Amino acid sequence: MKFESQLLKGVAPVVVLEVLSRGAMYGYELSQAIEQRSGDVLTLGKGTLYPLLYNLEAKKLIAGRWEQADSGRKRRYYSITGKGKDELAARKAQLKKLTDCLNLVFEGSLAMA
Amino acid sequence: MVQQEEPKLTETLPEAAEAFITAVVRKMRYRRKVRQEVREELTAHLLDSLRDCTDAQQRNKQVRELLTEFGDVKMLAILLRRAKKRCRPAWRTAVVRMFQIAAAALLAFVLYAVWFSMGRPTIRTDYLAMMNEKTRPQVADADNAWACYDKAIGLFKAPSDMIRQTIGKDAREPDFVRIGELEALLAANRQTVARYVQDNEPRIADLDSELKAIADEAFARGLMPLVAGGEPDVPSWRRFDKAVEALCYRIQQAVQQGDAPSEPMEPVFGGYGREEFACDPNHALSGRLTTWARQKTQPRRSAAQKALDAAAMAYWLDHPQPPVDTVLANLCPYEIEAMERWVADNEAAWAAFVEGGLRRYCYRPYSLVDGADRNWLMAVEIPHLGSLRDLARLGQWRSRLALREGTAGAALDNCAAVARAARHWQDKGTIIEQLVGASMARLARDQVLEILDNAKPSAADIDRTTAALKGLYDQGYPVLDLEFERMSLMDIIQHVFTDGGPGGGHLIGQEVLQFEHPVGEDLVARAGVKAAGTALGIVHARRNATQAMANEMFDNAVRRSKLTPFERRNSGIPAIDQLLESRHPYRYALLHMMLPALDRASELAFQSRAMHEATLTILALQRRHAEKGAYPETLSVLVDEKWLDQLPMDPFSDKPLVYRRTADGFILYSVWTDFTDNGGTTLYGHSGRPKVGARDDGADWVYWPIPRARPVDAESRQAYRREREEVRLVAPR
Repeated sequence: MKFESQLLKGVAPVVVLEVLSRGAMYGYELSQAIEQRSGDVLTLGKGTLYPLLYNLEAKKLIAGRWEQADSGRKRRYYSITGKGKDELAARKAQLKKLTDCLNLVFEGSLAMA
Repeated sequence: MVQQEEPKLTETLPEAAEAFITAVVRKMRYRRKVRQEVREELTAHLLDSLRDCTDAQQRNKQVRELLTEFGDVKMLAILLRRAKKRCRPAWRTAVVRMFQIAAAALLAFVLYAVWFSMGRPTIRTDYLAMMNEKTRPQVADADNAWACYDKAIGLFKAPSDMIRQTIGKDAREPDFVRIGELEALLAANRQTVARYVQDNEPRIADLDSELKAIADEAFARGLMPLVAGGEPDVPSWRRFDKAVEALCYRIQQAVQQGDAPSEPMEPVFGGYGREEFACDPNHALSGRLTTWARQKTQPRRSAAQKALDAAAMAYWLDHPQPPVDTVLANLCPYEIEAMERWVADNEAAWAAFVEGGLRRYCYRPYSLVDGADRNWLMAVEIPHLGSLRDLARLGQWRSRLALREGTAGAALDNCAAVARAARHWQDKGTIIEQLVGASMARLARDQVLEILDNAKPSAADIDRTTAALKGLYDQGYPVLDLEFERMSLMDIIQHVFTDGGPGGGHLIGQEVLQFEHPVGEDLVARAGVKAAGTALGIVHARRNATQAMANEMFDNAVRRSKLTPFERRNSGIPAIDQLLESRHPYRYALLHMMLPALDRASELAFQSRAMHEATLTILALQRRHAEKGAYPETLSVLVDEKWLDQLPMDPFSDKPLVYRRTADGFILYSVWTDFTDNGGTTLYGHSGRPKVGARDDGADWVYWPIPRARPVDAESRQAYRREREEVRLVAPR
């Protein structure tokens, strides 16, 4: 199942922050993790992933650093910052509130669908 | 080029993937370091994606899918660049913004400057026509003197260079003042000269007959062919005693330097009969001398020169001439002959000039000079002024020659004629016309005083002259009229400003710079002027502000022009130069460049008035003296006895001119520009000449007795020579 891009666009930063809150990852690893955790439902386009990461970095919600793997390959690892954690908590609370509201609107039919 | 700058990939990617990354990175158009990071990150991502591919086919398929997922290259590059720009530190953003603002400002300035330089004036007013309409009197054309003056100018025969050299001299400041020094030099060197003559007597005897005849005739005429190589600051044609004067200087110098006194003149008189001597090419004597000098070979010339020197000095020893300081007395017979011929040649012109002076008014419409590049008052033609001034000088010399013949009445009539013509140019038109009018009037008055000082005119002659001069200004003595100058400046503004827009328009600076410093067709110079002019236009006050400032200055100048110099001091009305001083030289550059010294010019009108009243007063004093045999104790007596209508006023004190009886007559003077009565003090230069009219502290302007040159001591003489030397160093020859 694929979501409308506009619908996904709003939650993509939260998803990235949520995944990174569980450990530092590099870009490819992050995209794989999101797909796995969402059961291959949430897929960030690769053309979206890196601009999104750089934007979050610009807002100082995540921080990037270069590391060299055992194979010798350099990768840029991203980890969530303190500010990112605060932002994540706030956005999660908003999402929960939104979900609750939507459930009220749809009288529980959202949960059953 | 861009590809060469990109770092090489460290691991192998399929060609398509590598090209994709390269294209994205290139299109990012961002800092190299950032692009390198992005490249590495995308490369790592793609290599990780291909890690599990087992064969080439699978690998290629995977690459195609990945690239499809990455989407459009350009869009990705834009998104990456935008995101990376957000990542940069605040200081870098600030610097970039600063540069962006500076670039934008520079661009805006360049566009503004281009717009400025494209500005063109709009001519709305024909000031030339307006000026002609304004100055045209509403009276009959038959009373217009211009037709007569025009005729006089047409008939006028311009003086030769020799005559011009003579008529250009002020009667009171003759170039012959150094004759006064001659006496002392002659006394000191008489023995030396006599010895030289004695030593060269055989040579005099050996002079060939032709040269001897020429020399005799020259000496008899008062001419002396000792010209070239003499003092450099004396005229190249002279009377005999001036040649001797130069010779004496050289003798004196030679003696001081310890040279043999009997042979000092060889290096001095190196050239006879040059063109300088041939002041009148038609004169047979000059021509013969010139021809003779050109034909002689050098050795023979040298001997002949010595002989001629000796002959000249012998002549001088036998015919000593005392120094004199009246103009005519300083002219040799040949010069007087030439002057008489010039006067006779101009009888018809003089008659027309005199007739013009009798007309009621003078109106001459202004027109543009031939080839004027635009129709504006700056280009009006006033070529008549030089001829009018020459006609006035003709009158002055007519007067001198009449005086020489003993007809003081005719001499005074000539002065009155010049004064009448001068009146027509004193109260309107350009400043130059008015100043020429004033100078013609001064010429006439100076000559009247010279006549009174050198002759005894009859009572009838004095009465006639008094009546003529008095009647000239029955409407009051004119102050300087500034209307033409104001209109001229407004016309300039109209031609060098754009019309409309902020402030009413801006200055087209190159127009101003062009007529101040024309650069012709030189493209580089023109570009320079255009750039400088645009810069000037940007900083210069706008049209409305410039016009307002110009009008304020002229309003003040007009108010001040009606005040005497004494009143001006405490009037609180600033002069133009004071107002300009308080204005920025670039912001009001046009006014700084274009406004003439109106204050000084308008002061001249008051000086002229004072001199006019002084002349009437001196005429009255002489008339009374002729009648009663004595000068009065005070000027009030002249008024009481009806010799004078009113007391002559001094514009520098707003009191009557200072008058005192003296042992041999009287003294009459203005306290002059220091506003202080210095007891009738005349200051003298190192040359011994009076500094009449110099604005030095401690000086008065003495009208009577006429200040004359006086002998100077050796120290002053040296100082005078140093001054002249300095002048020669800076003045173009």
